[in-house]
Amino acid sequence: MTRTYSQHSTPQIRELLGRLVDHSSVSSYRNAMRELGGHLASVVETMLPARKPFAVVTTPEDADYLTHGMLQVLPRERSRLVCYWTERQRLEGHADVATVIQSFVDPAMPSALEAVVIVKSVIATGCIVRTHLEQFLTEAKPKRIVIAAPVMRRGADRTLRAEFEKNISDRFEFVSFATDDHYEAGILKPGVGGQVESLLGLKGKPERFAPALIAEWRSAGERVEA
Amino acid sequence: MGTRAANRKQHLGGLANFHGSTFEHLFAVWRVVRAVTAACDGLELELSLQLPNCRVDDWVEDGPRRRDHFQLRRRRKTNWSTVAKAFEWQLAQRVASKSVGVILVVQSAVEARRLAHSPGRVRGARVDWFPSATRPRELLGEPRIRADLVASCIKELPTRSDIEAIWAAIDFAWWNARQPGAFVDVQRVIAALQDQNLPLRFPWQPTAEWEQAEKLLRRVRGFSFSVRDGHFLYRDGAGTSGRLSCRTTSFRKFVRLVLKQRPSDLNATRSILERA
Repeated sequence: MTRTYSQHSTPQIRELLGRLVDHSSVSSYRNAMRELGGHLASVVETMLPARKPFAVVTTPEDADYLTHGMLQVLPRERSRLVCYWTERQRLEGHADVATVIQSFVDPAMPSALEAVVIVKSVIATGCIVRTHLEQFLTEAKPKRIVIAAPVMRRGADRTLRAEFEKNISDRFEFVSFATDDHYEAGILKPGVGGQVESLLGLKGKPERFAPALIAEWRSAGERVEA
Repeated sequence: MGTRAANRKQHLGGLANFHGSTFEHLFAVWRVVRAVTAACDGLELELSLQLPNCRVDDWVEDGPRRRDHFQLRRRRKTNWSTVAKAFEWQLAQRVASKSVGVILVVQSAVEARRLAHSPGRVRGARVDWFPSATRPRELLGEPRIRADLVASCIKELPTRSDIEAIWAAIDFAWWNARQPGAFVDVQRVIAALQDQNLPLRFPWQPTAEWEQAEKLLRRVRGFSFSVRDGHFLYRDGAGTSGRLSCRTTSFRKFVRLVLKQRPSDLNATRSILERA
């Protein structure tokens, strides 16, 4: 198992990544994810256009932790939240399949966007990121596409680029703190310590569960509508 | 946007979008062959026509045991003609090895004879013809023709609906794709289908429970929904939208919960959707 740290990782970030792997409790895991989200945001923010809105695309699992941490650092008035609920299946001998079954798109999302940030706790096969991006590109055509995850599998960026036409993949910018190369039985090792869903204490949640972050943004939108 | 343009746009890749009409054409044929094969074999659908440089994507529906999903998706830099060749080869293999009924419907006996001896036609295909004044669907009522079709072409279909679905596709194409001297093969039949997102089945039939639930949901302020192609599509007016296949256990559960809890506002409806 070889881990390579990126230029963005500080000793504090490495300690947080270590905390994910040595998780002692669900709450400490959640906190570490939130903090990592904040650190990711600090890097991502420098890549975003000034004074223009940008979208942050998340999974429901990451919404209350990694994404929540990011959104505490990113300017709220310019952030537009998008969440995609997906069904995922592994097919023997075929690439993983994920399909969007529900989505939340910030009602304040403009029709033209400069940038989108696809956030994910870990990118191993890139299946979810690919699906999220494909779905998002049907709604907007951002000039910059930032794909941010604390940990990525080595080569995942190349795999993802190969899934898209060149005029799209040329816009990809990857941000991560560490890359791992040991992928076994659907888990990247050491990665983020295992299956994120279980480690965040979300195992058994219904497929379309609404994270608190989505409920919060949804009600904010409803207040504006009213 | 005109209807034709709208249909073309809608067909650019089915639910997930991103593809072209050639892809849709191939995928539709692939789906028909799978459905016919499954019906003939009485087996679960299998991913046996996976083509090189394509991946399978998109959901269609699920059954009580597992989800079946299939959509071919082209990988980057793949030449469609290569995929088409691979597809034709697989189709030919499939027809040759499984005796799948591929029906070539023509307008005259002369055309039928010509095609029957055509070196280019798919091995194993059966050529049939019908008087142009008669719609094929009407012929289904004729016991002799139906028995002949079932006996010689589509063996041991488990249900009438399978035959009807295939027949409906041919029927549709008969009216939409026929031209003087032209013939309709399975590819053309399916290419002529208006909605290629539909699985080869009859449309989902609303149940009595759903009809009751629908009335309750109509009263929920801010919640809009529709049923299209056997999918329940919903939107809550606050940014959330989604879909549920009406053939799934999740949808049946959703309907049961709506009837039991009679939601009166958006939050109650969302909560039911979450639990479905």
